[in-house]
Amino acid sequence: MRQPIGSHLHGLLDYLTGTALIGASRLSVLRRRFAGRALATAGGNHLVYSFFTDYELGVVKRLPYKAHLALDAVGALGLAVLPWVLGRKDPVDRWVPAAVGIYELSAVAMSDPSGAGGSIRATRHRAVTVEKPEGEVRALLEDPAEVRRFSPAGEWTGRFELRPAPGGRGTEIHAEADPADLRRAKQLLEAGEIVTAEGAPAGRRGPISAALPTLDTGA
Amino acid sequence: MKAITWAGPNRVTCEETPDPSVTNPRDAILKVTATTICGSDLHLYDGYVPAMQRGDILGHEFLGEVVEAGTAVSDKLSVGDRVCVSPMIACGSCFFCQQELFSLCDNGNPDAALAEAVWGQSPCGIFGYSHLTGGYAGSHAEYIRVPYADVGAVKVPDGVDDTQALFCSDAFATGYFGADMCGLGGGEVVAVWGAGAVGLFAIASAYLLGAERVIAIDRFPERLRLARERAGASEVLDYTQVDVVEELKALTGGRGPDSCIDAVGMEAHSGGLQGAYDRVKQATRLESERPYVIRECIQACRKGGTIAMIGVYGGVADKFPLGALMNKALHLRTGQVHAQRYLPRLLEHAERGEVDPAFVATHEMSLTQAQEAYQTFKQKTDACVRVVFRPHGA
Ligand SMILES: NC(=O)c1ccc[n+]([C@@H]2O[C@H](COP(=O)([O-])OP(=O)(O)OC[C@H]3O[C@@H](n4cnc5c(N)ncnc54)[C@H](O)[C@@H]3O)[C@@H](O)[C@H]2O)c1
Ligand SMILES: [Zn+2]
Ligand SMILES: [Zn+2]
Repeated sequence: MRQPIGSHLHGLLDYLTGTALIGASRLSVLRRRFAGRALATAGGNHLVYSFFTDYELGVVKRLPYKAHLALDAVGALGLAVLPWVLGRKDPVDRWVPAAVGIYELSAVAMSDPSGAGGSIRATRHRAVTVEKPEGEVRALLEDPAEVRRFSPAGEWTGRFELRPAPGGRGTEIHAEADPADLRRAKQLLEAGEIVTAEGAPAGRRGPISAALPTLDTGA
Repeated sequence: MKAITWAGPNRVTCEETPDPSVTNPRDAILKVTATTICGSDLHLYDGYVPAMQRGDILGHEFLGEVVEAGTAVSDKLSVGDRVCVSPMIACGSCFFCQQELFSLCDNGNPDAALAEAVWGQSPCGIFGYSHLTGGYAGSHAEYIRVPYADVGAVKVPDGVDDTQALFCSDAFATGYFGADMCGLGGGEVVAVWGAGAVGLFAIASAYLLGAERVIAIDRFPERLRLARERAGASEVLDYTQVDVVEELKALTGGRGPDSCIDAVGMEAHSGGLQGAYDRVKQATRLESERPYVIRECIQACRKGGTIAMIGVYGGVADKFPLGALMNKALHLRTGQVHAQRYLPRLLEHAERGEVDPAFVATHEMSLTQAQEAYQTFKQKTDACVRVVFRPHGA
């Protein structure tokens, strides 16, 4: 199985983490001390080389993505061990940079070096079978209001091909598309609505739920 | 509202959470009148199912009263209806639903990508059953949102009481599904591993579907007694006392049972070297299952027989006897229960008094006793078979 984080998602995380680190370094508990300076430097570096990386969200695409990942790993390790190397004794100065370093290392470990990623992949040829006649499928795929519903991020190109499924079992939609968009289109056609668990009630989430939900085992 | 949430391996809490609300036109909101801890919840409680998050509301076996119906289901369900709900969230109209394979529904799992990455394709959504099957809030709560309520919720006839109806939604449905997958034609011998609620209902269902003898296997005397006295098992085996495969051979004239039902799943218990081996591998996550029961089923089953795997598995197993499976030409049938298919039929059996599903309810507790309830059910202390919560009182 591929690592789950593709280059697109990785880019998003880069910019979010970069700004978050700089923001955090201004908090009163961290300001004007080693931990704050370490976080600000790490965040700044991150933003700079992300800007120059040749992935989707890079602006001046010079730095190969693999080299970016290597920089991530080196930087994260540095952050994790620096407090010890420099002999910092204060727990905040020690553990805050170390925790950020470990978080960054885990993000690197979960990133697919080819850039493709297991769950967030670049769009490529995909297909989905729908239990509906061709006309009905085409009508939905060409209706701008429905397109906005099944492709909320606007990644649907509008180019697709319909083929009858073997054995009269519905219609196949073939397209270069985000699999989630195809899935939602299928749901609209077959179930009449987009299935969701959003807004499901839940109890208190753990401290790392927002960033790394599946690692929040609560242990 | 009050709800029981997962707080990490072996930890559950009862806490205040927001109330659910109608999100889609086919939703209904139910006031949960009865719900129970299922063996499947133990796999989550024990931390063997990945993709649980702290704060997730548990529970998928329940009965409730409609308090609000979405616009697309208001012709089928009315406020006040007493309904029994399938744990499986299924659309009712995809290729799989049309064949009544509801647990394979294409449109029930909003997190399908995660399940596809792990299993190739995604099953349906399931209430309170990790983010692999949708991240839906579960039923160990005062209220619950039921998506596709027109397909999943079935009205309960007046002659069936809450406790009886409760078990029709999952434990009875699953046991019946296991027996159904055996393809019984009349006169068979069936062996059932596990005499929890699911196994007990598998025994009763095998008789309903034509089996001549059913042999129950477990280690708890009180469960084996229920197997014999309430479910009607013709023989019972304590697997800690006998060699199960040898004993089954002896009981079936050397042939082996025609069908074997695994109603235990991934956390099967075993002593000896085999047990230690799998425990270490599972604890270090080198294998996700402790697959003794399925190993034993394959070994014991008669040539050309059928194995129904209704015990739940999640990942990969070791030392799986492929040679026996292949050379004995066995049929292996599996799945999460297609509860929507069986619910109406089971409620009828209960209404006619042919089966009284309430016999597995041994304990009643309140949601606030979350940890005690899960622990009692897990350890099977105090002869516990099933704990029932009535979030709004009896
Ligand atoms: N397929 C489905 O849709 C579905 C639905 C509900 C439950 N389940 C599964 O069914 C299984 C049983 O559920 P339950 O509620 O009855 O749980 P339970 O924990 O009450 O019962 C399990 C029983 O298995 C017995 N057991 C353990 N090791 C054994 C062994 N080596 N040989 C024989 N028996 C052994 C235990 O003593 C226990 O009595 C679980 O795996 C659960 O996840 C599946
Ligand atoms: Zn269950
Ligand atoms: Zn479906």
